[in-house]
Amino acid sequence: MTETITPRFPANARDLDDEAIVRALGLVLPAACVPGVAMNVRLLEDHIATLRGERR
Amino acid sequence: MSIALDADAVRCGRVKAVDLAREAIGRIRADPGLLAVTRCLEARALAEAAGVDAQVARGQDPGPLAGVTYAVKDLFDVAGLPTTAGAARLEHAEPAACDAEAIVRLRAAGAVLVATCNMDEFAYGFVTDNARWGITRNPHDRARFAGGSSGGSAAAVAAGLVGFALGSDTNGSIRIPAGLCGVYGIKPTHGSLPMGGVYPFVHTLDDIGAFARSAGDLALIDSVLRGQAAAARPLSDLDPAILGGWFAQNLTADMRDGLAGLGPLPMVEIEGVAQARSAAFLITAYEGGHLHAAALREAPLSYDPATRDRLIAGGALPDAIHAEALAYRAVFAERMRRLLDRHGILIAPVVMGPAPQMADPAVLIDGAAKPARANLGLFTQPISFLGLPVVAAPLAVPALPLGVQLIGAPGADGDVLAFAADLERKGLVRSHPVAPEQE
Repeated sequence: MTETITPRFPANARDLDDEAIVRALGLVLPAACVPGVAMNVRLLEDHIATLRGERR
Repeated sequence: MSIALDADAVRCGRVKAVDLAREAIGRIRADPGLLAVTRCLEARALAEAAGVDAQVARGQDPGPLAGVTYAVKDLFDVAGLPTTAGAARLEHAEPAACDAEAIVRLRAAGAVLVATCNMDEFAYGFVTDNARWGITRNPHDRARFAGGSSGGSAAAVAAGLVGFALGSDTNGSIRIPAGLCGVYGIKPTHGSLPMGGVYPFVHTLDDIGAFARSAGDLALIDSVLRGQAAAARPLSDLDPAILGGWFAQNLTADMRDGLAGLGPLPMVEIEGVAQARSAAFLITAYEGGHLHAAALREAPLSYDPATRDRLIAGGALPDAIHAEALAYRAVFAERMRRLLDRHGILIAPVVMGPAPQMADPAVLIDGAAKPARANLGLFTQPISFLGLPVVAAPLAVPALPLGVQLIGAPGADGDVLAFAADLERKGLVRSHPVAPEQE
C-alpha cells in the first residue's frame, strides 16, 4: 500500500462504488483490499451516523 | 474440583505439580482438533512445576495457585517466544525478552504455564476464526464457534485442558467466548490489572482478565493478578436489575427464558445505547487502524484479509471522529453512573443466544443476518466502552451455554465477583465443562 496523501474519510460512502471510495481515501491499495476496505468504510459511515443520532 | 483444592493438594504434598502439568499436557496433545492451543510449552511447564514441587519439599509455600495449570491468549509475552497476537506475520518475530507482568504474578503464586491459545488476528473479531491457526471449536458443539477474540482460552478451560486461562477484552473478547463456552470470565475495571507485556489493540479499551470454571476460581485468580482481593459490598446492598431496551432485543427464546430464570428482578433502561456501541466501534477502528498503519503500508498482504480491510478503513478515520466518540463516552458514562447508583449490579445478556454455527457465521439483528465476527459484541461493546467491571457468568441452562453479564460501577470488581458467587450458590449460574475429545 502506498500512501499518496493523508487519508480523507468520504462523507458519502454509501453513494460511491468501491473504487471511488478508495480513491477518496487517497490510498493506493492492492486490488485484493479494495472491496473489503470499501465495505468497511461504508460500515463506519453507518456508525458515524448512529453516533450522531442520525439513525439507529 | 476447584483450582484452590488442586493448589491445596500440591501445597501439602498429596499431589505433585509435575503430575498436574503432565496431565494437562496430555489432555492438550490428545485434542488437537479443538484448535484452542497454538503452542504447548512442555519444557517450561515441567520446569516450573518442578520448581513448585521443590519449594514444597523445602517446606516453603509456593502460593495460592501452587501447581495449577493455565494457558494464555497468544498476545501475552512469554519469555523466549514470539508474541504472535494471532498473526502469521509475527509467527517468527523476535522472541519476548521476559514474561508479561500478569504471568510474572501468576508464577509467583505457584501457577504453571502450559500453553498459548488461539485468538482472532490482533484481537479484532468475536469468533476466533484465525487464518493461520484455524477456527477454535466450541467444546459443546464442534460445529459452532467458541467466540472470540479469546476463544482459545475459553475453549481450553471449558474442555478441561487447563485449570484456568488468561485473555484480553476490548469490546467483549473475554465475555463473549466465556458465555458461548459456558465458563466464567472477568473483564475488570479498565486499567486495574497489569497490561505490561500484552500486545495492544485499542489502548482506550484494552484490559486483561481470566477464564475459570467457578466463580470462586475466578475471584482467586483475579486476586493474584490484582495483588489483593477486590473489596465487595454486602450482597444486600446491591439491589440488582436487568437491563432492558437495547439489551432485551434480538434475544433467542432460550436467552429470554434464561434471564427470566434469574428471578423477579426490576428491569431498567438506559438511553443512547446504540450511540455507545457505535462510539466503541469507531474508537476501536480508529485506534486499531492507527496502531497498524505503518505495517499496513509496508506489507498489507501479510495480514488476514478479514482483519486488514477493517484496519485500513479504521486508519482512515479522522481524529475528529475519534474525539467525537470519546466525548459521547462522558455523556453515556453519566447516565450509567446514575443507574448504577440505584442498582449496584446490572444484568444483561452476553450475546443474543448460543454460539453461531461455523457453517452459518451470522447473527440476526432486527431481522437481518449480520456477520458474527463483527456483531457478536452488540451487548458487550456499550459496557466495556465505559471501562466497567463485568463478570460473564454461564446460566444454569440444560442446552447450549448462554452467558449473562454482571455489571458493576467502576472499581466495584469485588461486587460483581461476589454477586456471581452468590448466583452460583443459588444454582442460577454454573459452568458447563465438557470432557476433551480423544483423537
